[in-house]
Amino acid sequence: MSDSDKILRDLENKKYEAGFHADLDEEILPPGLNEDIISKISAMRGEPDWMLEFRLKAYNYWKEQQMPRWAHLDFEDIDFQSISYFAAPKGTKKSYESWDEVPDEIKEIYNKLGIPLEEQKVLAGVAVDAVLDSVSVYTSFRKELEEMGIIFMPISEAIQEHPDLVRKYLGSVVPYSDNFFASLNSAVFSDGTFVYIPKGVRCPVELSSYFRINTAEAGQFERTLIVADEGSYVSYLEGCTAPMYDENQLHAAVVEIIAMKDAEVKYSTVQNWYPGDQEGKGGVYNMVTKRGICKGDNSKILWTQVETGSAITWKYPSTILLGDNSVSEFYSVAVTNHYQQADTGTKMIHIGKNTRSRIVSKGISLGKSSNAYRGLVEIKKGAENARNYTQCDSLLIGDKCGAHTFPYIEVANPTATVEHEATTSKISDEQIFYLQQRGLDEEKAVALIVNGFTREVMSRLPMEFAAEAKKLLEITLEGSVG
Amino acid sequence: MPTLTKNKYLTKQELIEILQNNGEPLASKNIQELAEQAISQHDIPHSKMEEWRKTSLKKLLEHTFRYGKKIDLERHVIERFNISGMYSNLLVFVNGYFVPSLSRLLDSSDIVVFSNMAEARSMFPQVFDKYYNRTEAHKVNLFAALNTRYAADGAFVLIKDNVKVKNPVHIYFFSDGEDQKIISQTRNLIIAGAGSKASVLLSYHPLSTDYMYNNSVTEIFVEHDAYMDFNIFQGEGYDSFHTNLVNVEVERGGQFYSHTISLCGEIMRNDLRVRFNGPEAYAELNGLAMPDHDQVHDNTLFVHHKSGGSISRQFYRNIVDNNARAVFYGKVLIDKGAKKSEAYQLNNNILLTTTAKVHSKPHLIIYNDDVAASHGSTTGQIDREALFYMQARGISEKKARTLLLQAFANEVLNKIQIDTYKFYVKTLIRKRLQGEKVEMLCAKLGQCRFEPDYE
Repeated sequence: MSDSDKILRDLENKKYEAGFHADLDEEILPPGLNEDIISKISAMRGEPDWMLEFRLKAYNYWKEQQMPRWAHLDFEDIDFQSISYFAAPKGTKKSYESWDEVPDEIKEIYNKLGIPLEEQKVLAGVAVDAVLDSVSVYTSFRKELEEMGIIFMPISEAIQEHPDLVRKYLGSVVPYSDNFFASLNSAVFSDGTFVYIPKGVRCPVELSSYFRINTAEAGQFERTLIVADEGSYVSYLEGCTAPMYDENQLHAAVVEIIAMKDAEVKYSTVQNWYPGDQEGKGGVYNMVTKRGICKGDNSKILWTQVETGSAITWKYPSTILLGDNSVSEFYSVAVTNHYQQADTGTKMIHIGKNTRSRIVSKGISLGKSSNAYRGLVEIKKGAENARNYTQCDSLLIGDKCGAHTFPYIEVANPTATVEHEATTSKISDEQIFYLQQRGLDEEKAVALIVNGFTREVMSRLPMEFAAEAKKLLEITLEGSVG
Repeated sequence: MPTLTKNKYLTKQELIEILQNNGEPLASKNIQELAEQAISQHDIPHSKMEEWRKTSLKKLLEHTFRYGKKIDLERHVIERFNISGMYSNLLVFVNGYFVPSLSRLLDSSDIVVFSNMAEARSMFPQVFDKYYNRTEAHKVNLFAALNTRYAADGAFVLIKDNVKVKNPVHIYFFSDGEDQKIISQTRNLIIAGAGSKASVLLSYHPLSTDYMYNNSVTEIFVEHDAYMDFNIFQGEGYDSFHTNLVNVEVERGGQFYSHTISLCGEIMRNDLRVRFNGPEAYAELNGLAMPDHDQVHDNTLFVHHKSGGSISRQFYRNIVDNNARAVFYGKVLIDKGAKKSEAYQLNNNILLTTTAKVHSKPHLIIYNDDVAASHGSTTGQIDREALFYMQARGISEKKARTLLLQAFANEVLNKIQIDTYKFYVKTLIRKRLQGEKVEMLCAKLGQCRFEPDYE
């Protein structure tokens, strides 16, 4: 067996480290979706009437829609009636006030995953909201943040405690009729995170949500809403994992970000849902709608994502650049292996004057996977002097995978400058040879080149996250030779 | 001829009714059947189709057409469209009908067979059967399927093996509706035999005003080690429509060069599809489109690297004025087995007004790791610094703009291989950019006169 064969075999045997399942006593609603289920979810969360109305409106719209099939993804139809839309550990009606109250078996899950919830052990500077299946179980640092006027809590509680804020912004960036999965989410979302940063406040810690699917038959539908008021700043991180099951699970989340005048929001994701086994069995279907709006002048939204998990990824974090001089950047590394399929990218919609956006996307395909970049850059008529630069590079490792690039560039203003460039290639023999000459073995050479290939994106991640992302990437790429 | 009383837009059935009365179809019964099946499956292209997202056919479908008359033109009528200094083998079609009296063959008929399709079918039945619709044009879209089913004539060019054709082959397509809305449907077949070399130019011109519609399909076979230089010139009427499909198959070692110049026309839709059947094949697809007024010029390309070791290059530029819209959709597919393939796409656009639009989609679909592929797309305006530089040296702003636009266009035009034709196109574009009346182009129309309304 040649070196590269051995390495490829090793690669295939790589384990999904977060793939354990915890035996929790969970309360699960029966599978299926209808108005009763939605009313039940709403009632269980003790929601006000307007919330139920919002859900039912979304559900009635969703009923009429067909699942979109335009993405470069090949998967069987999802039976939406066989999914359970609510699962929660028994007895958790509300998020726990302190870590001591959290039941041991839930603590165990997070300890196993290495998520620091316990405040004394917390890396200084990260506040975590932990969402297990359909509910938020614990939010750290809440009190401290409250003193600064920062609201950081499960969205289910925010609906109760800050109904005005939630009502004003929920669905304002991603309306319930936006797309098939956003409608579904609007109808059934059960929890997620709500963040509000008041005027002029610079959030001193990184806020973070950790999403975990535990139950086999349940989907996860969380909703994140981030509002950064004038002149504020926040950095938000998101991580996700799921146990290994043979069935596919559905994750359909919606993230909405609103950045007012002079505000800056940094949103980072390390996505590590269970990708399925080597035969492509099981894995999470990750169908996510993420969108931010630079509402005020000089506002800024930065997206950084590292995508290594999920059997299917369908995700396009987008920014609407409405305010003049607003800026948005999108940095992405997407790695696919085995039978994973990803169709991911971004949308930058320039409306305001002097708006600027930058897209850097790096795709790496291995095994029999398929990895597509799909990005829209749209310059509207009024976007004087808008500027976009897009770079999307793909790296292919092995001859059974696919790498695709689907950019859409639509320009309706002559003063705009839009540039797009992309390359697709494997790691060249010359590169490897050069490094081998200098004493590195083949495996290390590949790692070094991939490291360089993704560096531009990795360097954008917050420090606490960068280490995890690097580790994930290393596991996925271990010894892959072009 | 159906009248549009009930519906505002032509339906598929009405399109079929319009197109079916075209004399004896070229296609064999077998192919006719296949095409009919395809017709029943295809919809009229609409914005939900990925390949037609930004090109609406509503303007085309609000008219009803009929076939034009067979007209024997006098030689002096077409002489206005001559490219000076270009001695070429000529084939002339008017309203889709072949006009033998205006056609001429300079090169020996031993090396090149040159005729209309209807005649070629009876003269070379074996060649005809071997190649006709081998590229399965009917599968591409409704218009190509209708063409496959009903087309009755077109140009036939067969270059024999190892022959280098000295003079270019120039095929004229004139439309003269005598102030009626007419449709012309042509089906062309070009075969470059193994080791041969030739240049072919297809040019489309209007002879009357009012809405004229061309629905054409051209199949090109570049046999192994052959060299084909293929040109399309669309100097069509201000309100003309053109749905144009060119299907190309390139065999081992074959080289295919294409230059598509779209200067005028309400909706110009060019589908150019190239497939590499053998290794070491090469294709270079260049194009320049200059839509003005409310025109839409759409270049949709598809290059299929079915076999490894082949290289494709796409280079398209658009200069968009007024409310016009330019669409570039370049797709490259590299198959699993197509090792050592190279694919490059480049699309540059200049918008001249605040209402002009451009849509650029350079797509790469790659299933093999041993490839080198890249694409680039830029959209902007004339470089302000270059403009300033020239103004600082005493060149007026207007003149400087014209020069810069010319330079932008020339990078594509310089790739044209027939020198006389290259000069002809450059002259036309220079005149147009300077706002002069372009005599040779739209003599009767005048509307196509280009007034560059910058800012």
